[in-house]
Formats: sequence, structure tokens, C-alpha cells
Amino acid sequence: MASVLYDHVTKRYTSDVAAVNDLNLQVRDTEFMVLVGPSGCGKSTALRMLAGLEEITEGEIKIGERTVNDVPARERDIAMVFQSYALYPHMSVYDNMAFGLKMRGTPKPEIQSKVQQAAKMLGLDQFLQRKPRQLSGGQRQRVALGRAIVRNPQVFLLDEPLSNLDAQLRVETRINLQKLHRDLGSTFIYVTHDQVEAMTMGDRIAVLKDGLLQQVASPREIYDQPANMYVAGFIGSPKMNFIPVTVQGQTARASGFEVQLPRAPGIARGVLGLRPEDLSEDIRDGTPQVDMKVDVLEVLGSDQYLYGRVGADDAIARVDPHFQVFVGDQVRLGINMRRLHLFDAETEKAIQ
Amino acid sequence: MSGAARIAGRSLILAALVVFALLPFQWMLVASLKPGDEQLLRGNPWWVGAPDWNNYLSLANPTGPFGRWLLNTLLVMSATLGISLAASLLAAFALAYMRVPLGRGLAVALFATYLLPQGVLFLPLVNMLSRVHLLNSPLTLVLTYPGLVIPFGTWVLWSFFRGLPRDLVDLARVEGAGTASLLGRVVLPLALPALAAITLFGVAIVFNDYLYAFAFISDERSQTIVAALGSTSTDINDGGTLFAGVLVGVTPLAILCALFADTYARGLGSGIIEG
Repeated sequence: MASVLYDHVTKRYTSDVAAVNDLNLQVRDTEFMVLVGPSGCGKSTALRMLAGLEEITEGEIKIGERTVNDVPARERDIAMVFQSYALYPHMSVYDNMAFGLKMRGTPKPEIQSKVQQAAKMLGLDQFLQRKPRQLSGGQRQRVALGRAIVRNPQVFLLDEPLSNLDAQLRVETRINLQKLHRDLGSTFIYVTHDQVEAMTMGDRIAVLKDGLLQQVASPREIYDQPANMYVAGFIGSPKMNFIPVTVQGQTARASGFEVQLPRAPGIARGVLGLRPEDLSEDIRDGTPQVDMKVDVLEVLGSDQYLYGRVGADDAIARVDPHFQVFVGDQVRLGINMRRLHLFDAETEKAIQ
Repeated sequence: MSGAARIAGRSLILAALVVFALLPFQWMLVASLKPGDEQLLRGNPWWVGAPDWNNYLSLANPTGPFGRWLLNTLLVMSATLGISLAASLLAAFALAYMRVPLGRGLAVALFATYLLPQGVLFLPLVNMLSRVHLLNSPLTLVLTYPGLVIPFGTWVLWSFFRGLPRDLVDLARVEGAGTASLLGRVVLPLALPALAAITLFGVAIVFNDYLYAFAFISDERSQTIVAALGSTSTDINDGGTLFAGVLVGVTPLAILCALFADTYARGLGSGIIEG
């Protein structure tokens, strides 16, 4: 167990492009930190630098109190789970799980009891003598986890560990991972491109884009108070609606409606951000109303999504599944003003 | 119907190929079971009425030279393979996983040496070996054959390693493996198919080479089977014994090739590890 600190960390493969650009991030002891972003955003590179698999171009990485820039991977006391699982095909499940302990010269009886214990925890005790190729995808994934667990490392690094599982198994494993984190009481750093995984598992989420850290906060805060349009658009599904507006004083004017802002933002052009659930059939006194021309309906049982146009802008609304509406209808919807976001059109940053 | 016809057609073609491949063996077998030069001079070359095992008995004669040649061949072969496999593995490992200055260039240069025809090298080699007084010793072959096997072996292993998932190596590092453990416990076991392919290649080099084996060693007692049987100066002058010797020398190789053909092909292809 340990905290992790990225202090002005930069990684350059070539002199002009930074895969990770001046990353400052403090991961607390026992925290479940998720690094999320699209492929190529630098999240895996950040993880691999911490693991000691990539050199750090600039800055400093600390595990606990120790600066690890020049510490070889094998001495960093971290364990890593790869997307490919990286199981050794020529070794049994037992040997795969025991590998790290053997490398560290752990006495045999201790290896045996640790592997047994981890195998029991993950429901792998029946499979210890099998080879990886005789296991299902989910079992392989658990072996990869087990290999990390037996070492009892200071920090667990997980690089897209669920990406190769089918949808149902992914949900199960997501829940098991959270339990595991709680039971182990260790620091987890988890890399994913999947915003659902990030939202459901992270104590905090760090959103990256083009090597730059966009925001670090709890899932709730990331969702409710995104720092910029990128974070707002990346987290949440369906995506947040972005509606360009011109601002005059406290009035924000879109192509199809206008709203009164609580105070003058001091910009001329902005973008309103509105999550689909904040654009709904729920109209109360004083709620600004908009008319939406519905192009597509999606009924999901618990929800119903309307895809259409408000004025000249595309918009998505979430309404009650029993709300009667047909394609081609013009429906009247209300905006939840308390949940309205405004971004500066120039900088794309959120305006408080 | 058409499926059955296709299978029949395919079987016919395969049968023809098998016959074509085995015919020389049959011819040699028949020859080895006839006394003297009978095979070459008269009679049915494809069949022998009364097998005469004397040719094999004379090969097995402990005072005769054949055992000696076999021993020389085995020694040269095992030394060649030992040196070549170890050197190729270490070289390819370094090229693939360590930071070697100009690594890529080195790999390409190494492979380029493999393209040099043997015939071009042999005169300077004879010259060199005679100056260091190594001619006429099997050691000359132990020194030269790895030069033919290592470039090929390094190339095969290098491309094999590049096809291995990088994660397997990264994981070993994170799990605490040093270079020696990484090589011994992870890379070596995974590379076995590639090593088998190189072994087969090396065996074929030793068995196929007549040029070096004959040019470097004229002393009959130091020669390998191939050179000795091919040389007219040896005291096997009758065809029957010659064919018996060739058959004994070549059959293990043929069986080895047949058994490991699949491994060989797999070893040549890279990235054969699946999850």
C-alpha cells in the first residue's frame, strides 16, 4: 500500500510530440484511481512509466516516499495486469501465479499457501494445474489478477483488464474488482477508455486527452461539474448536448430558444451543455421550454431517448418511457436550469 | 460425389509424390543388399531376390572406418548445433530486447552474410585454416559450420521474438525477473519451436556440405560421412557397401525431417503464441 505521485511528468518518444505532457497527479493510499481517455491519450504510457516499462523524459514519479525514476521495474513493488493478460502459455495456472514470488526467492511453502489463497479468492482452485489455453477468457483474466494478488504489491496497475471480456462478464468482473479492491485495501490505478468503467469503479477519475490531464475528481463531480467540453462530452452516455449560444448580459440565445443565466458570464459566444436527462417532458413553473422535432426514438425500457432538433441544433432528450411521442412529432420539453452548463466557445472551459 | 472425387484426386497426387520421394531410398536399399557393384551393372535395380547383409556387416566392422566417420559426423554436428543455438539465441535476444547500438543494422548485416555463397568463402577459408594449422581436423568444421547456421538462426529467432507479445516480456520485468530469468524461464521455453527449426537447419547443413568437409579434411580418419563416402580415395570401392553407408547416414536425417516438418514450418513463422 502506498500513494503515488506524478510530479510534472512528461514522456516524449520524438522531440516534438509528448505522449504525456506535464502530468501532475496524486493518487492517495488505498485509492481506486481510474485514468480514462480515448486511445492515444497517454493513459497507458503514464501507467507504463509508473511500472518502469517506459523511461520518464521529464519530471518525477514517486511511489510512497521513494522516487522511482531510476528504479528498475522489478524493484518497484508493483503488480500489473495487462489487457492481453500476458499469461505464459508454457506454464500452468499455478506456475503463472507463482512466477513473481519465485523470482523474488520466496520459500516454496509460502508460495504454495499464497497461490492457494488467491486461487480460492478468485474461484480458480480447480484449475491450478491447467495451462492457460485450457481456460475460458474470464478464467484467464482471473489468473492475471491472481498473479498480481499473490505478490501483495504496494500498487496494482491495471491496463484495460476487462477489454477482452464479453459484455456480461465485464459487468460481473467490474463488480468483483471493486470488492477485490475493498478486500485488499491496496492502491489501484486502472486504465480504461470506457467511461462506464471509469464512472462505476473509480474513487476518482483522471480524464486525459492528447497527453494532457483534463480533470481529476470523483465520478459525481466529473459528471456534475466537468471542467471543460471535452470531459463533459466524454463522460456520460448518451453524450451531453452542446448548443451554441450568443450571450448578451444574462441572456443566452440559441437558434431555437433563449434562457436567462443566473449571472452575466462576461463572454459573447458560449456553448450550453445539457445532459439528456436534463432535457425532458418534466415542465414546472418557470422552467424554460423548448420545442423539439423528433427524428429518432429509442425505447430502452427504463428510459426513452428522443433524438431530434431544437431550432437548428441537434439534441438528445431523455423522457419517461411511457411518454407518448412519435417520430416526426414536435414536442415541448423543459430544461432543468439547475443542471445547465455553460462553456466558453473559445477556450471550451466551463464557466462557473 | 464431387467431395469424394476431390479426395480421391488429392490422394492420387499425394501418393505419386510419396512414391517420387521414396524411390531413391528404395533404389539405395536394393543396391545395399546386393554384393559389389551388381546394382550398377546388371539385374533389376528395383528389387533384390536374396538380400545380402554383408555390406551392413562390413560397415559395422569395428576396425573399419565407418564407425569413425559416423562418430566424427556426430561430434561435428553436436558441436555445431551447440555453438549455433547458444549464439543465435543470445544474439537474437540482445537484438530484440536490449538496447543494442545500431541493432537493426547489425541484424540486417548478419542476415546478409548468410546470402554469401559457400563457394566464395571456401578458398580464403582454406588459406586461413592452413595458416593456423587446423586443416585435417574436424575442428575446422566445428569452426566454420556455425558461421553458416548462426546468421540464419539469429534471423529466425529475432523475427520470432519480434512477433512475441511484448506484454510477456514486460510482465516478467514487472514480476521481478532479471535478464537471466527472462531468458531462461520465459523466452527460451517460448522459443523452442524456433530452436527446433534451427536445429533441423543445422543438421541439414552438416549433412549437405560436401565442399568444406572434403576441402578442409583430406585425412580419411578425420572425415565426416558425407566427405568420406564421396571421396574415391577411401577403401570402400564397391557400390554395395557405399550405398549401405549412405543409407545409414541419411535415414536418421530423413526421419527427423519428416517428424519435425510441422515444427520447422511453425518455427519459421513468427508470432505463433496465441493467448
